[in-house]
Amino acid sequence: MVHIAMAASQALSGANPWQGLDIQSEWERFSQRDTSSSHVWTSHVWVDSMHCAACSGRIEQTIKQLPGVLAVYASAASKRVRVVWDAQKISPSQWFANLDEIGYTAMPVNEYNAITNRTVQQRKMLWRLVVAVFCMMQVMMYAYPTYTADSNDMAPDMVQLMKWASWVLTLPVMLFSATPFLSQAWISLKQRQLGMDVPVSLGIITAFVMSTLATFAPGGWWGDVVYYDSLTMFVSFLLIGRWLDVKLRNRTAGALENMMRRLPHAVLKKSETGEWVQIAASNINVGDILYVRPGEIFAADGKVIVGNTSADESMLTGESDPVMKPTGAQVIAGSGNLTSVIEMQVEQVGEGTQYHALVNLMASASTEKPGIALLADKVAQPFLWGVLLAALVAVGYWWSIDPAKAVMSAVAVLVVTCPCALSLATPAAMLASAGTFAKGGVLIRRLQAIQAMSEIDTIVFDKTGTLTENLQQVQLAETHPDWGNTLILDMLASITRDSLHPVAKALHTYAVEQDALTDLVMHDWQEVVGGGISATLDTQAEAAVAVKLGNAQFSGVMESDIGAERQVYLMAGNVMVARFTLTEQVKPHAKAAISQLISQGLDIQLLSGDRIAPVKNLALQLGIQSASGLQKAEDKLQHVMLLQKQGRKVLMVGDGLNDGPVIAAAHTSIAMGTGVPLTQAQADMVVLGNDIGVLVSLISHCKKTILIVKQNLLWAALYNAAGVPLAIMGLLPAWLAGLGMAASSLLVLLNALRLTDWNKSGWQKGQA
Amino acid sequence: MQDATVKAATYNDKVVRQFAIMAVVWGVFGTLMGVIIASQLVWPDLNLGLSYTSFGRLRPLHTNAVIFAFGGCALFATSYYVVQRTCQTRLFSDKLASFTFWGWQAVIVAAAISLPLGYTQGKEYGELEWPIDILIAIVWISYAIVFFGTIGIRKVKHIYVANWFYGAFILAVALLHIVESAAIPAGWFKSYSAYAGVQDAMVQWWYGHNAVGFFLTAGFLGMMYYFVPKQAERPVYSYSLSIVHFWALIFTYMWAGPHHLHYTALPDWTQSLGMVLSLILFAPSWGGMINGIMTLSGAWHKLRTDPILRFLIVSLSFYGMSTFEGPMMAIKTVNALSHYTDWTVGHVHSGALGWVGFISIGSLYFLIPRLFGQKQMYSVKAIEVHFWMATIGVVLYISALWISGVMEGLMWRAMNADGTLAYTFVESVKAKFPYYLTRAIGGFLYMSGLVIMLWNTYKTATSGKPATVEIPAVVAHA
Amino acid sequence: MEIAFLLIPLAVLLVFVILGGFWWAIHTGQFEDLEEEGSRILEQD
Repeated sequence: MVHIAMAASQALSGANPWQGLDIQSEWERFSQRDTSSSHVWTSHVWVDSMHCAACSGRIEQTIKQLPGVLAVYASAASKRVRVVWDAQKISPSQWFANLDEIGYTAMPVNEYNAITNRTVQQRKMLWRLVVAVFCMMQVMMYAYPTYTADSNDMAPDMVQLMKWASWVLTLPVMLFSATPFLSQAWISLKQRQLGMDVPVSLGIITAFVMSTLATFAPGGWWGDVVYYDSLTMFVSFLLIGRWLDVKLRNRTAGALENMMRRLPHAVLKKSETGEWVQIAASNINVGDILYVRPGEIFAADGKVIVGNTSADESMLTGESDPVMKPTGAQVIAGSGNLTSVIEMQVEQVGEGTQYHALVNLMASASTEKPGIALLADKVAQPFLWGVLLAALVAVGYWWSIDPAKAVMSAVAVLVVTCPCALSLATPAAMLASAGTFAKGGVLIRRLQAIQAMSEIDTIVFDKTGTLTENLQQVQLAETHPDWGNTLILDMLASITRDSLHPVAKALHTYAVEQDALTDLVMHDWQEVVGGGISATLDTQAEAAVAVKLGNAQFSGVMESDIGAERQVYLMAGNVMVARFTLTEQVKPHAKAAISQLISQGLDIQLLSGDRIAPVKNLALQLGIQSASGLQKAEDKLQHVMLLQKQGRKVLMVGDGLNDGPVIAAAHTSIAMGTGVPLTQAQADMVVLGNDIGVLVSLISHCKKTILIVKQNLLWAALYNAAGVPLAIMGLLPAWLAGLGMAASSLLVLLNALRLTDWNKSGWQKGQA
Repeated sequence: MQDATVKAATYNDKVVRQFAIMAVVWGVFGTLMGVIIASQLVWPDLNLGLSYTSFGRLRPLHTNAVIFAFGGCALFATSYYVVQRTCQTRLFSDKLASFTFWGWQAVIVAAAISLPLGYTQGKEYGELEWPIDILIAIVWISYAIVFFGTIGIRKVKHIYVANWFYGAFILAVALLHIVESAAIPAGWFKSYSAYAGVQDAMVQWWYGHNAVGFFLTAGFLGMMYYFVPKQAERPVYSYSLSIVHFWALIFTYMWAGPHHLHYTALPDWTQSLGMVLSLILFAPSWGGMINGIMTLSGAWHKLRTDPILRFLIVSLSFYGMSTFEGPMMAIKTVNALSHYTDWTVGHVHSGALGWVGFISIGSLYFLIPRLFGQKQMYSVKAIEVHFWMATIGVVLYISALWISGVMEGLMWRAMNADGTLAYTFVESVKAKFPYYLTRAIGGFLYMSGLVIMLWNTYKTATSGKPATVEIPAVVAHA
Repeated sequence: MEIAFLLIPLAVLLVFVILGGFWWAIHTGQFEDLEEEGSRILEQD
């Protein structure tokens, strides 16, 4: 909150109130540096007053025009805006101030702000709702007798007293509870735009003015009927809708914000004198030794140095079984210490942690706009003009007959069409699913992916590693007599040190287990997709040996065995110094999952850079019809493009690395596996954990999500189609219009809430 | 100096002890009065031919003794205990707290003397004459100062929900008492109501109904929200629901009063409004009841072995039953049958004996041993016996009056073919004899249970000694 | 029913008083971390 206070004091002196954000250490708290360029940053900000598609559109248009802003994504559903900007051309305070000018106050999304802002927002929303509901209840009480009493039962002065009391009770609803709608409408009108709140506000104000006239000056053309009950009820329902919306969003953002809140605020650190002192989590440095008790959350990535424990990594891996963490094991920030006290040495903090990558991934997903939502944006403006027109038609039609009825019919039109349902239809459902997936260990980078996932008809597995265990059994099959085993293992351990390829990782582990050295001096290290690794190594024996590790083709040797095992060759120059064999094991659920997918009418294909024999063998085991080996990246790309040309919608499943073009070409993509470094994965979705079966329930849940989106849109459309004519004809009293509007929005939200129930392993029940 | 610091670090349990003991004493006294007047209905000779002991004078003494003496002392005792424990601080003022005890006892004694002597304002639950009313007002304002003062100096940021209920009870009763008692004195023992005619009736039942709502419901719900979780050793089933329960209840209770005046000179629309609000009241009442009972979920087995918990949970079932019955009886068509019959008396007693009585008894059984430095009551077996006597007593009581009330209502409205009444009034009185006898037996059982409780309390108090409890060091709120 | 001219304004006033109580409760954070507060009473005696 420091810079906010600072901002406030500067605002008094007339300077840009956001200047405090222009220090790099400040903006780093809510921004990340782009991987490609050192001065391009992606910032996440929160705009609380952004409620509808029209608002987010306006924000995008305004900010995009600023020089130095490279891209803007605003999501009304999550109230977040993601701004990509160039630090050499613009500073954050400039675009923050620009947002201020168009009536949207942005807050940087960093942990502290998000949480305080959230409680403040939640309090305020609850308070508005409570005021509206309590006053509504009282107004209803005074309205009830006028509906039910016999005409002579209530004395006229009593009726007048009730009207007066209702008016007093409606004031706080108008002046306080309804202000979010009224002020939003005002802001958009000042922008000469038609926001979603305009018709609503117009309806509220008209009803209030009519009723006030009827209370204090009865007998004019406005008649003497008051609508305080309808009015307070309408505002209450609108607020209930908003409140439910906030709850739903919190549940989804909850997955995100729970993650953010998961890290402890304070930790025990070993001081230089060897005592345990409490320090703030933000002050942890690499190399610190921390004391972690059972039940606590690890605050940083690191290594266990004293003690044995087990950890709950379900949030990061989606696997709920505890993981053993003996001395020396790696622990990750955000996972929980389960069984005993340990001491850990910090190896990564803050931005560098796996945990942080996860949070950022989630944050960027929630600002993405799915295709269907774009459609809603497009129709918003014409729709709103249509509503105003319909209201005018109602006034014009009734005016000569009964002016009071004319005005109230117009109010009914404005109220009944309140486009909340329409604007909530898509994001509510998508966000509900995204949140649910996140809890189950599936992260969505683009909401669009849910829609894409529901349409696929072909799944291409681009790596055998996806279907088989990463843990591979390594055997040293053959060595060159001139090279000693120790030297071979040292070379192997060093050259595989930095690779993420599962085969390289398996070989690395194999070598390290036999105490090989991993730090031979290495130059020109290079990894070739679908081939292997090459580098120049300084071994103990001689300097600058050109070493290659990879398959037969890459290594330039003849395939020496055509069995099902994978062959890997270690070359020094042109001499083969060693040959390793690796045996893969099919993942436990793979066969069942594949047959389930096939039975759903999906075409399953396997493309692997591996040799033909093991690939065919694997395909046979799993019942996959179409499988090809020896596929290089460009072969895969060609294959996928061919499929797309045939009109197929292809889902790529792989490790999400080094497959940029293929992923871009595919309809959508999933990266899977425990070893996936999230920061580099480029797939639309990331499935944490090892269970291939998740695919089945994931696809069916995506289909369900789209179904619910369609139901919601259809419902909103039908409802408007039925409500507007009735309102114009004067058949819809104001209270019924309000009720209808509220009911349709609630229905949409509740329908979306059904998506929060996702049975990740439910697909197995279909299996015998 | 030394003494002052020691005092500050302990809770003021002396006043709690005083009120707790007197609650038990007045409980016996009040129900004894009840048994006497119930017997008078069976055997009219028991009026003894004296005006002082006649039904008409003892009946208000009975209601005042059970509601304000027994119920009041139980509320004072528990609210002083709960507010100190949940705020982790000593009462705001020891002197003022002591004054509330002696003042309240003086009110009760004054009532016990003036009512049989025939001094009354003639308003139900507001019979006491104006000098006593003024004393009540002074005591009550002191009570409010002690209670809210303690909240004000609390060491825990959050105000526990029980205190919200107690607080609403204290404020509402102050308001109700002042509005209801507005009267013009005509000498020391006589006054005339400030309101006339139907206005007076309206004010009377606005008061009467809210006395039920805030004295007999809100206050005891405060008790429920502390002692049920404590005895069950689990947190309230849903704490959020308890907050919603509170706000919903205080918002709807205030306006349900007119249902006591169905088919009277009150305007029709007021009656209908009263009916609708009474029906709405059902929802928050049951919300609270379910919340209380579900607190036990996962620990139902404790009911088998713990008679105190049984008192508390059975009280909640009676609360649920009477808050269902109440709205039903507020429906005008049902009311046409039930009004002025014994059904109403039965309904009040299922609430008073079942809900108010049981929750207070359970809470006192929790409280008394702790106040005397004991682990539990002198005899747990006796609590067990008390429980069964009280339960059988209530069941006999209310079922007798249900039958009697419905029968009576039907007899009154029964008509011959020619439009004349089928029964005379005295025939309906005669027909009620067996039910009145059953009711008197039920009441006697209930009273005997309280006598056992009094003995048990005496034994517990004499085998222990008044305990001084230290205030625990405040746990830092993270 | 002249009494209504007193009772109804009083009632309106009372609504505002109760709302005032609620306002205080919300803004002093009485409604946060509710379930934790529910179990707090079991911790001490």
